[in-house]
Amino acid sequence: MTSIRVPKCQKILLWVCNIGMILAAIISSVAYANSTRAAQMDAREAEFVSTMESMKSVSQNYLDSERGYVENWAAYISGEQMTLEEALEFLRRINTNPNRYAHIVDMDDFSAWSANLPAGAEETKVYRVYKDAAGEWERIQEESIWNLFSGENARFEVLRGYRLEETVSMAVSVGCRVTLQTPDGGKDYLLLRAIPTEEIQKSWVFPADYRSAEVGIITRQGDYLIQSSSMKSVSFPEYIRAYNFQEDYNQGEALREQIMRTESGTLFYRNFRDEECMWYYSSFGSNSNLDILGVINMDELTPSSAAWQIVGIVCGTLGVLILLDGLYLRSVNRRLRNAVRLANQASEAKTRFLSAMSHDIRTPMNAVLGMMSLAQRNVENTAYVSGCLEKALRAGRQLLTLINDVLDISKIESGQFVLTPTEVELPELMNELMDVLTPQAKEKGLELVYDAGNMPAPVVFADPTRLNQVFMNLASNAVKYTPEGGKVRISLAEEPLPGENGGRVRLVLRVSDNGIGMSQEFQKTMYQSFSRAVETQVNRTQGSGLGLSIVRQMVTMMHGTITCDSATNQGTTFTVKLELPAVEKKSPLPGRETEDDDVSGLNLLVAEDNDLNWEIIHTLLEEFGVRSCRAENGRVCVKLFSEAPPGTFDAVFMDVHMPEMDGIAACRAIRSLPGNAGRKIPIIAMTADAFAEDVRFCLDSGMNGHLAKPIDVTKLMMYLKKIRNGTISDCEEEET
Amino acid sequence: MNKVFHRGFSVLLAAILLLTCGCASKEGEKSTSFTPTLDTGASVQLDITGAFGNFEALDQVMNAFNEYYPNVTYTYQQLSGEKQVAYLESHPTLDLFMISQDTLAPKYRSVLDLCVDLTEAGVNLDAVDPQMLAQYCVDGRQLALPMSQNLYGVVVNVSLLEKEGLSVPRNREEFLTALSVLKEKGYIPVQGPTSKVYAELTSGMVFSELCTGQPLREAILKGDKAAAAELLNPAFDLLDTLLSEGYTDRDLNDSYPNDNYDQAILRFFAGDVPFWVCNSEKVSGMKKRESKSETFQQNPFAYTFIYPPVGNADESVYREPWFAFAVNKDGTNRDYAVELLRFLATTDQMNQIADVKGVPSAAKESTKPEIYTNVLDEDAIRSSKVNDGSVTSDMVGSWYSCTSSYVNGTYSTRQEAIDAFLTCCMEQIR
Repeated sequence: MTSIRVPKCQKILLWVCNIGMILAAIISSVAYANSTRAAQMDAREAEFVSTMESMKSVSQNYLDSERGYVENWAAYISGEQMTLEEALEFLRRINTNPNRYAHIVDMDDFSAWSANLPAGAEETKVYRVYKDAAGEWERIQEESIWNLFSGENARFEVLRGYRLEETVSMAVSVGCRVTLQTPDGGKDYLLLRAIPTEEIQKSWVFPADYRSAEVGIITRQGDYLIQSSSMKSVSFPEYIRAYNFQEDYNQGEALREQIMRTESGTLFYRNFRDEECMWYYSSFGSNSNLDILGVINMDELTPSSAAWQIVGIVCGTLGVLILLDGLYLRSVNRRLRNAVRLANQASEAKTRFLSAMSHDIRTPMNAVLGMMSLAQRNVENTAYVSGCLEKALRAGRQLLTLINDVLDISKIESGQFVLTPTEVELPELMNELMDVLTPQAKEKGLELVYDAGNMPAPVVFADPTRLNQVFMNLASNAVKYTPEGGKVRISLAEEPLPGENGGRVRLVLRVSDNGIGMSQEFQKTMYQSFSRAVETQVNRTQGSGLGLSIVRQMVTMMHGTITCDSATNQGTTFTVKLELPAVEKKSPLPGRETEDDDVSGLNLLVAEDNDLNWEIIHTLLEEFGVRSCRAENGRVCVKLFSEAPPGTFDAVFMDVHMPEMDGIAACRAIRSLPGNAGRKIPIIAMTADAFAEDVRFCLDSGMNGHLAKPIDVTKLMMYLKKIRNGTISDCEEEET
Repeated sequence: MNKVFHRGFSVLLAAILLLTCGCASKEGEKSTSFTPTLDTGASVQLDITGAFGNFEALDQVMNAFNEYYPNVTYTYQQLSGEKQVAYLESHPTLDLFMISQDTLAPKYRSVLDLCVDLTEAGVNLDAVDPQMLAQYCVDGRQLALPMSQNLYGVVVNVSLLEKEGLSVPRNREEFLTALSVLKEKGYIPVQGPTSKVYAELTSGMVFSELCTGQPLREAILKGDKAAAAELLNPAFDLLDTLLSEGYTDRDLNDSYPNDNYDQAILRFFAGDVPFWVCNSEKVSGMKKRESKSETFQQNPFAYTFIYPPVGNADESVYREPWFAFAVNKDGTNRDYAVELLRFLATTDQMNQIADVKGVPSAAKESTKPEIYTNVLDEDAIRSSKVNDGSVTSDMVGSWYSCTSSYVNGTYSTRQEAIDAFLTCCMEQIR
C-alpha cells in the first residue's frame, strides 16, 4: 500500500513553527499583560503618593490650626496676667472641644496641670517621667518639651506620642510659652494643647479602596511621632530591618540615613505580617524634623488580575484551539489516510480487474478465434466445422455475459439502473432457468434438483429480466463451483406475509450445493465487485467476480434480502427473499408491438466504417428481408441521407466511432438538415460503446436508440419491429 | 519519539489550561493545640506594655493569634520597670504588661495585685516548664506567664580556642587550664563589664545555692553567717584566681561596654575575646548583629554559649525565668488578654516567641537553637537549680554590687564583701 510520507525535517520544522508561534503568542500576551500591569501599578503608586501628600498638607494645616489655638490662648493668658488657677479656669471655658486637652507645664520639674481634670485635682504626672530621664525616648521627649518652651522651630515641633491621664489615649501636643502670675511675679510655663492621635488619624481619610493604608508621622531619624497600629518596633528603620533584613543590621542604618538625606521617597518592604507593602515618606518642610509616613499593602496597588485573566483566556483558548485543531487535523489525516488506502485498494482492484478482464476476455476470445481457425482449416468437414462454430458461439456468449455484467455494474453504480416490472409467471421462469442449467449440470456430471414449493400466487409483478438474472447468477454459480458428482438443489416457494399484506407474497428462492464453498474471510467481501473466491488465472473456473455484486444490488433494489450460509468444501446455500405483489393471472402484455416478425421491405442507411461489421449487419438485415445501404463514415452517411429523396430510408443505423465524421456529429448534422426528414428519421446507435453514459450520450445527441455490439439479434429484431411500427420515435434506451 | 512528543505536547496543553484556571488559594495553618473560647469576630484592641523596644516576637505571636481572632489588634509600648508602676497608675485599663524578677519585690506589690491569676482564669499551663512558672507563682496565684528563660553564662570564641589547641571547657579544671594557656598566648581570656562580669561568672555558684533547700539558703535561714560565708568562699576564690593570674583585667573590664548591646556584642565580634561573660539576653542580639561588625564579616568565627564552667561537670548550673506576661485585672479587654495568654501558653507559641526573641524557651518541650545547644542539654537541665522566687532581685543586685566592689577594692577584705552580701540576703530570707 502506498502511504503519504512527509519528510521528517519538514515535520520538525512544522512543529517548531507551530510551537514557536504559540509561544510567541503567549509571550507577547504575557509581555502585554506585564506592561499594562506595570503601567497601572505606576499610576496607582503615583495616586497613593499624591494622597499621602494631600494628607501631609492636611496634617500640617491641622497642626498649624491647633498651634494657632494654643498661641492665642497663651497670648490672652499672658496679657491678662492670669494665675495658674485663673488660666486653668479660662482654659476650661475657652477649650470647648472635648477631644482637646490643655495642659500647663512647670518647666522646673515638669509637673503639670490639666484644664480637663476637675478643679482641685488638676495635677497630671504625665510629663514628670521625662524630666532628667535616662532613657533615650524620655530624653527626646524632654528635648521636645524644651523646644516647645523656647519656641525654637516651633512650627514643626511636636511632643510625640504619649498617653494622657484623662483618657488613657495616645496623644501628641503642640505648645508655646505662657506667662502666669505667681506670688513671686511672672513665671514662664509651657502651655500645651494635647491632641489624641486618633483625632489626627481621623483627619486622614483615605479613599475607600485603600483598605490597608495607614499613616504615621516620623522624625527624620525614623523615630515614630504618631505610630499607626502596624508600625511596630522602636523606630521605622528598625521595624523595616527586623522584618526585611533580619540578618543584616546595617540595612536599618542605611534606611535611617536615606530618610534623613532625602525629602521624600518610596520604599517597598514587608510589614510584620510578611506582606509586601509600599511605604512613602515625605518631609513636612526643609526646617521640619518630621516626615509623614504612609504604608499600603501592595495587593491594593496591584491591578486586578483582569489582564492576566485575559492572558489566561487567550492561552487557554489557544490551547483549546490547538487541541481541537489537532484533533480535527488528526481526524482529517485519518480520513485522508483511509481515502488513500481506499484509493489504493480501488487502484489495486482496478489493476486486478483489468488483469482479470484481460484474462477473462482473452480466454473466450481464444476459444472463438481458435475454433474459427480450426473450422477454417477443416472447412471440408462439415460436422467438425459445426462443432467448432458451436463452441465459438458459446465462448462468444460467455464473453458477452462478461461484458454485460460489466455494463450492469456500470449502470448500477451510476444510478441509472431502472427496474421494469411486469407480470412474471414464476413456473415458466423456473422452467426456462432449468432448461438452461440442466445441460450445463449434465455436462459437468452434477445432479440438479428443482423443488417447486407451495406457490399460491404463481404470477407476480416484477422485472422478469432481473429476476431471471438473480436466479440465473446464483444457480449458475452453484453449478460452476460444484465439482463433478456434486449436487445442486434449487427451490422456489412462497411464504405468506403476516397481517395485511396488500396482496403481496414473500418469494423465497434457495440455491444449495455441496461444492467448494466459501471461507468466512471471503464471505465478508463476496458482494464486492470483482471478488472471486477462486482466482480465474489459476483455476479453470471462470467468472467476472461481478455476479454476486449484481445479485446483491438487484435484490436490494427489489427491497429483498439475500443471505448466505457457506463453509469451505462443504457447500453453499444462498437464500433470496423478495416481497412482490401477487397477480391473479397472467394477462397478455400490453403494448403496441405486434407478434409479427415480418420486417421485410424496410430500407436502412447503415453508417459503418468496419467492413466486417458491415458484412454482419448487412447479412443479418438481409436475412430479415431488410435492405441496407452502407455509408463508410458519418460524412458519407449525411451526404447519402441528404441527397436521397425523402422517405428513401426508414431508419439510420449509426456507428459512433468512424473516420472523417463520427456518428454523433453525423446524427446532429442529419437532425439539422432542412425539412422534416432529418428530424423524423429514426437513428439507432450501433456501437461497442455500451456503458450507461455512452447510451445516455447517444440519446442526448439526438439518436432514438442504442444497439450494442456484438449485435444481439433479438434486440435487432425489436428495433426493426419498432421501426416498422413507427414507435421508435420514443427514443428508448436499449436494455442491455 | 512521537509518543514522547505527544506526551510533552499534552503536558504543555495541560499546563496552559491549568494556568487558565489559575491557581488554588492557600489556607492558613493554625495551631492545633488552641481552641478559641471567645467571639472570634469581635474587634478588640489590646494595649500592651513591655520591657523591649523591639518586640518582633510579640508581633509573630499576634500574627498567629490573628489566625483565630482576625480583628484583634494591639498597641505596644516599651516601659522599663519603675515606669511600669507609674504607667499602670495613669493607665489603669492597660490590658497586658510584663513583669520580671524585679517586679516581684515588695515595693511593686501594687502591680502584682493587678495581675490576674492565670490558673484561676483558666489558662492551661501544661505546656510550660513548671520550674519556670514557680517564680511567678506568688501566694498560690500564678501571676504571669514567662516568655522565656534567662541564663547566665559565657559566650565562647570556639574558633579562637581551637586555633590555640583548646576545646570548649566543660568544668572548672578545663576552664582554668584554658585560661592559663590563653593567658600565655597573650590573651585576656575573661572579659565583660565590671558591673557584671564577676557576678555573672559566679552566678551559678551563688544563686543556685540560694535556691530553696540549698545549703547557703539554709545557713542564712539559720542565721549561721560563718557557715554561709564558708559557702561563698569558692566564688571569691575563683575571682581571686582570675585576678591574680591575670585571666581577666580590671581596667579592661571597666571599659567594656555595659548596657549598650551593640557595643558589647561588637566588642566580642572583634574576635580577640575568648570568653565574654553575659546572659542569654545579650546572646539574643548576637546573630542579627553579625552583619553589623565589619571585623566579623571579614573574619567570621564560631561561637557558642555555655554555663560558666566553674564547677565540676554540671554543678552550679542555675536557670531562671525571664520576663513574663501578666493580665491586668482592670484591663478593658481582660477576657481577650487572658485568651491571648491561653494561646501563648501552647508549646508552639512558647517556642515561637523565644525563638524569634533569640532566647531559650520556657516550654516544657522546647526547641533548641544552635547557640543554646550546650545550655539546654538534658543533663544540665536535670542538675540545674531554678529560681522559684527564692532568689530575689535585691539578692541578685547585691551580688552584682558585692563582686564588683570586691574586685575594685571598695571592700578592704573578702569578709567585708561577704558580710555586705549576707546582710542583704538575711533581710530577704526570713
